[in-house]
Amino acid sequence: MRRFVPVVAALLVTSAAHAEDFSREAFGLPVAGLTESGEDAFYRGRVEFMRSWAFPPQGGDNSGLGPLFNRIACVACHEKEGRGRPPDGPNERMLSMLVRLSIPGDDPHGAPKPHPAYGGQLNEEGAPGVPGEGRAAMSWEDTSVRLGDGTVVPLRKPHVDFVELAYGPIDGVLFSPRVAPGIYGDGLLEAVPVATLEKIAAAQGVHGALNEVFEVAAGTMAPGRFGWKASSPTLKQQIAEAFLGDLGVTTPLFPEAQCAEAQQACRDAPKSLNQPEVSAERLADIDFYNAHLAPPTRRNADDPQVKRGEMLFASIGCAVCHVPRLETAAHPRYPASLPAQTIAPYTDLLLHDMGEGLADHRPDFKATCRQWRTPPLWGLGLVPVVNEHSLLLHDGRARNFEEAVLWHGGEAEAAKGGYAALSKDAREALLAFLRSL
Amino acid sequence: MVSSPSRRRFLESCAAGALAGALPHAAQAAVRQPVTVLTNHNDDTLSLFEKGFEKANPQYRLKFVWFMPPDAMKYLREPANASPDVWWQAAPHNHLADMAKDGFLQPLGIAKDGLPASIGALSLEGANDLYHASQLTAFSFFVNSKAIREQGLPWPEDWPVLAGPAYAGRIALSDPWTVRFGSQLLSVATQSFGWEQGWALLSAIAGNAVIMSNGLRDEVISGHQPVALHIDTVPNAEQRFRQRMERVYPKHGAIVNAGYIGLLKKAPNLDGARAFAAYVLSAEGQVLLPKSDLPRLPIRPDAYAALGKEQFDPFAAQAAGQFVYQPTDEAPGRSTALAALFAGLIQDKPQFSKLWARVHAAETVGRAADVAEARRLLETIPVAKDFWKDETLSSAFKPPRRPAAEGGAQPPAAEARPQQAQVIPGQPNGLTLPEPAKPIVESWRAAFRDNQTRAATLLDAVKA
Repeated sequence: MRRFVPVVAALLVTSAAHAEDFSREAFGLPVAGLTESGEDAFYRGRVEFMRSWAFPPQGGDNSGLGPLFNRIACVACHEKEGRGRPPDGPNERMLSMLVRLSIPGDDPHGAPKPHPAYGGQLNEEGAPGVPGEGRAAMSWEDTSVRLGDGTVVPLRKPHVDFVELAYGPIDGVLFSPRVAPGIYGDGLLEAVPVATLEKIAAAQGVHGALNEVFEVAAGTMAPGRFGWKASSPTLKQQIAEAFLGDLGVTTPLFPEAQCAEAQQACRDAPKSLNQPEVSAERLADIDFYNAHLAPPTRRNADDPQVKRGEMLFASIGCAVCHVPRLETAAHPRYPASLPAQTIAPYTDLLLHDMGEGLADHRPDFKATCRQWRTPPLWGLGLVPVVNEHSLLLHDGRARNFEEAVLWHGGEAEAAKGGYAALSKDAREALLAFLRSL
Repeated sequence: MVSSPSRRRFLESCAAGALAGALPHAAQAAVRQPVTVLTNHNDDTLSLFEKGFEKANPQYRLKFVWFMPPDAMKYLREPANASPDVWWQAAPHNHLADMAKDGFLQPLGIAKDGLPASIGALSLEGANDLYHASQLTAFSFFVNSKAIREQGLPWPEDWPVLAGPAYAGRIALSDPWTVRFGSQLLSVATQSFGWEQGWALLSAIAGNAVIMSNGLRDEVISGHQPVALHIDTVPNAEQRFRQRMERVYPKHGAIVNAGYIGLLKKAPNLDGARAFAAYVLSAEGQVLLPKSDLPRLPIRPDAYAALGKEQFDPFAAQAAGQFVYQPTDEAPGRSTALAALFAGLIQDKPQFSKLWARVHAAETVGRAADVAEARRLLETIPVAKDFWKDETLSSAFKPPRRPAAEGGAQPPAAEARPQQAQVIPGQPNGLTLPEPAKPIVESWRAAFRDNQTRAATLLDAVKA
């Protein structure tokens, strides 16, 4: 039986879509009102999400890891369905982040052109007999910024070096280090109509734009909305890309293992008896699971300091891109379990120029080297509880909300300036609001 | 719509930016030696150990080769395959012992300060230092606390609670004939409570229970059966699924098995392998085990002090006399005999459960001697505690030996022990009744039938 709560006011978010559990499980709960068969699909999907993959040809249902890969399970990077983190230093490996690679130019579909020896993503691990590609060593350079009242806020800037390279030089590569994002609420984001996003882009006064990416299932270009640069058009494709890129596991969308030209051992590695290694049914289960992970409910929303912070968030311009409320349509694949509703993701799903400070110098379809998709802010206040860290932004460089705000540039320069000009009390109020999300 | 700069200009500036970021820090990252770990632990556990180990040992980086134990053995036995350095196995069966006998392991050679040699009769050390237990699995009740509350049932703190009338039709119990853990349970009860009293409890619980070969988890998760008798790993895992399941360690509990770690003889990085094994067995490593999504019990008593009072401590339970069960009498033949006894007890399960219901109903209205006698008949086991000392009987239950392979080649050690192969509920027990044992089992079944007929007659007489 459905238990969706009707919207009773314009600013009231449909509560059934949100999870009221603020423990370490806060990001792993289903939206309310799933039918029994929906619950079955959700938990079948969770089995896939938590599955540890084994090297072919062994492993039965687990068979398919590699030949080149980063981790052995989805949950390894998306711990508790939450955010990954970067290494503290160059001798710590990337456990929940990855580095996208390319060379200048596009593939036939407009995607970044893979590096001839290392492909589109650095896979640090290999199956037995297949050398892992190498390692991305991350180090940090201290810097700082001075606020309007003289307060100096320390910042840190990442550097990535490629070491232990197994397939020759990687000179000339374009690269983009990215932490694993939280995966809750994605079904709701997928249900926001493109027309709504276009309307926001037209009205917001900055230069937000939809990415235009290749939709594999349809064989056509489509608006992008998932990933740090909105390079995936659908949740299912995003999941299939992660299966292939992170685990080396094939799906009906990407049925071929990814081995670069120079990687003969990769091409010679044993194949799984399951082809593709994730069937359409199992891919559908994990798609259902991901789509129905509920974003957590806000905490302390009525606290006076939080309310003041919320007003400041709007008044200094943050809410222009981190749009507080969006209206969804019924989800295209799950209209019964994800009906039209109001959500509070604090994103416009659009690409924005974030300035040179955050630039990754690697274009991705229409996203330029300075553009990033506005990341949703819902649930970020619970990251310290769920993932035991407070690291933010695409590469985890920001150690807290304040640092994240102060890395903004480009189209967000004015909003950052607005924050920097606030009094200490006002800044605290704004940060309290962000912690309540 | 914003006008975008030309793609060419962006590509040029992107390339320049990327290169500028890539080069200056290369010297900072030291080259680290890989340590390859063959394992079937879940990813969350591996991630915790990976972070901890690499932080403590920055000269090494871990590489996991994930295979279930049967596949791991196949992999190790294939000469063309590169050898991992370490084998770290999650329970249930000690496949490392099998492979150690076949010469695949080498001594651990690490300091063992703080590591106990055993818990009860379960040895934690491998012969010749070839492996060591790294985590424990305990017997537990798998409890749907919401269903317990909604059905107004007493909290299942120990076995006798499950033997009471409140739990009639509300327990899931593994069939000892088809599920290996089910036959282990019979020994846990009869050792923990004594032969006669333990069997009496088993009889009453069986009267209340639904006997199942698989699907216990779903029964409890759905609330159809609020309690199942299970190993703790399963309720631990289920806490990530559906709804919060609780794990209750009863006052009369047991360690049912351990997982092990060992170094492979052909380890390319022996120092790294040793460092990883030492870390897994260290106090720092052991406290990580209960923090995983699939929590397990540490094998270091000192780890429990760091984990706080909420953490169940099997060593404290052992010291307090709560763990009487010792797995030493789980010889295949004896397990078969016990499972056959239980099968005899429940040979007419509907009638058997009805008899127990009648006894419970009669007891609540205060009927006396005949009802007590009916209960005694249902609780009686037709063999004495030392029945296995009867050599005629025990030899009748001995499993037939497998014929030796042709040409003198020996079958793999694990394949030679099919009846010890699995301890996972829901996995086949592989019990077979040897021909000489059949008349013995038939006599037991007749004794159970006779007792149950007499009990029915007594209950008829008192109109219960």
